[in-house]
Amino acid sequence: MPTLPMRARLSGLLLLAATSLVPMALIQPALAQAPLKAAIIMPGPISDNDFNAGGYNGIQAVGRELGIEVAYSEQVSPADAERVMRDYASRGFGLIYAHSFSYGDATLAVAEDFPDVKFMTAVGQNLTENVGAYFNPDYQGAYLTGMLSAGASKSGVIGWVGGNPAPNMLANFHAWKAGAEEVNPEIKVMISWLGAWFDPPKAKEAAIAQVEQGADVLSAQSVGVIDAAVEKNVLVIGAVSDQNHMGPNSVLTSVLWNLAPVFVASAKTVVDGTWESKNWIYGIAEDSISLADFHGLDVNVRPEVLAAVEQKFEDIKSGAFEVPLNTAMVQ
Amino acid sequence: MSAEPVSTPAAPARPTGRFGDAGRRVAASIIAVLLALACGAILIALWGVNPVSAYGALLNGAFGNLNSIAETLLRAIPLTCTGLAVAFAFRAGTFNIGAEGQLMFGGAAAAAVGLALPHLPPLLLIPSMMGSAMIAGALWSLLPGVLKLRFGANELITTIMLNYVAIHFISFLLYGPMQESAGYLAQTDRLDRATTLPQLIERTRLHIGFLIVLGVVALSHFALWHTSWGYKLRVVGLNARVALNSGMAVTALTVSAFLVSGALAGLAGYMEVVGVQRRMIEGLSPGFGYTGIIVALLGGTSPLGVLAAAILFAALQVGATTMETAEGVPSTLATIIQGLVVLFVIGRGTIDLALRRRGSA
Repeated sequence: MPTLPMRARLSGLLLLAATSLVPMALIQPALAQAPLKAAIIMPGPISDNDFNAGGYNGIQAVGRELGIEVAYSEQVSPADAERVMRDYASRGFGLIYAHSFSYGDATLAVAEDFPDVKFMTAVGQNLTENVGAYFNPDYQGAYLTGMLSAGASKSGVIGWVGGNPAPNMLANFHAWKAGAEEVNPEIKVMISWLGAWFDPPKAKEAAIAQVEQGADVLSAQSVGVIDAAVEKNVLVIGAVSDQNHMGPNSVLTSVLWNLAPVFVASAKTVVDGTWESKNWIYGIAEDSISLADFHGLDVNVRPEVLAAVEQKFEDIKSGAFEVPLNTAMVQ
Repeated sequence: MSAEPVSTPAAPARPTGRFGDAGRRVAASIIAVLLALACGAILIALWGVNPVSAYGALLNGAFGNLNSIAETLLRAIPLTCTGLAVAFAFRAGTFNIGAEGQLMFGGAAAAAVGLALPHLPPLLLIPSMMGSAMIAGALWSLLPGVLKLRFGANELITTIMLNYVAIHFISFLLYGPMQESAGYLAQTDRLDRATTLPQLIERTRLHIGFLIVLGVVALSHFALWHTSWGYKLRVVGLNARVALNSGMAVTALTVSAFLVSGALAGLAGYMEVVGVQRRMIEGLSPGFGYTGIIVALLGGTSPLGVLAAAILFAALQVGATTMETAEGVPSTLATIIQGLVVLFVIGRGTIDLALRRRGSA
């Protein structure tokens, strides 16, 4: 092979040209007036049987019920969220679900540059013309599981483990505590923040620490807690999907999230042009929040507590009882 | 790095030897990337996706429209900075695996200055934020530099371990004294719009930091090849004993390389905080410091090569998102392809040798 007549300083330019010139030819105009496409970005893996699986099932329901193209991105860090949403928006997606409290900044920034795209943020703090929010009132279910936890605890100590002190997490914790206190005013409630939305080893460690301090019923608001409950042989409340299969003798019940109703309803309004920026709240009354089967573990709960929980569920559904919404900071 | 002038029987000295070597090295780099992409194609096919359409989606995601080009160049900004940081250290014969931590310190310093002095006119504030980021990065890299020169501690180990110290210390700051007033997440308050860098292309995130980085690349090139400091640095890197015997201040030169390296990594942190996140956040860097090592290697530790390699890696990372969503190729496969590039770049010497044999045959 003949020697390439090139100077060292030109070497970089060659690579530069190779990487940037060829693909320039692929530039294509953005599609206008195409059928709606919807996407979701999520902070963790869709296989978590938890928060991210909830979002994934929601977007799949949108695709199924509206017959439109849907896409998802999993494991998107907050630092990367803006890039991924811009990618969707610039590729003609008209509706984007930002499925994490930590995506707030990124959503607002992208929404500003893409006024025709609708954004739905999980627990959004700021609503703008094209940014709405869906608030999943799982705290309604947490009140019920708080009652169950207190009704099942023998030590009188129960523990809650969650990611970051975002408003939805705080609401969940306070409702859980309030439910527990309704059953047992003397109950001692522990709380641990992980400082991360998805860190199973850390969650497991925090949960084990709570058990070692006397907690015998846990609320798993983060992946990893159920592992700890199984290992330490204590009861645990699951979240989002029926997590009993992860600990058949440990997971008392789970607060089920069904994001399909709110996702489908909001997507429909985008299609027919009636979408509005607001807080979309779908709870027990809308069949979006419910409790999973006990799988026989209800023998651990005092019968009168079980009856009270059943009554409370009906009261929430009919509106006779409103679960207090408290998002005060707890460290 | 194959920077040392080897004379083997297969490569007789020629007047044009230097240029020929450089050309062959570039060719070897390109072949390494192509081989990695070919192996990646096999993996994609095994996953059940047509590699041609997958790579089509990757290219489209990286360069397919104005926004994606802007995103690729935006991501190339920190990668170029960290790549240069590692390259300067390499040139001086040391390893800086600590760009990740230096970047975090740079980002935190920039945010701290921006939040503490919001009323300063932008013409003063922007340079002070940039300067403090570079100083913070430089000071953090001085630590392994001193440990190496004073105690002979291997900087390969100290720089990588200090990354963890840096990341956790910054987390402590972000949960403590520097936390946003809302108090929910590990991040500072949002920086004022006046402190941020203007956009380069409307409706995209590409900011004028890219032009600054181009200037830094040019400056680095000039410093390395056209100043006596750069010359001495390269001599120290090639053979410290020769440098010492020629009366060069080897210790001072090594320290200066650590400082420049850390400052460049700190600059990457500044760019991310000011140009992208508009605040300091936990998890600011998705491994820019580590990717910088690959970028430096692939770019042959020359500033222009680093720039090209940074754009290539930015394109791989940005395009991977589109490949994931459009073709269903998991983004982890794109990470594997980046890993393959590393393997083939490390094995580049073999390709180089093969080219050399053919050249002399």
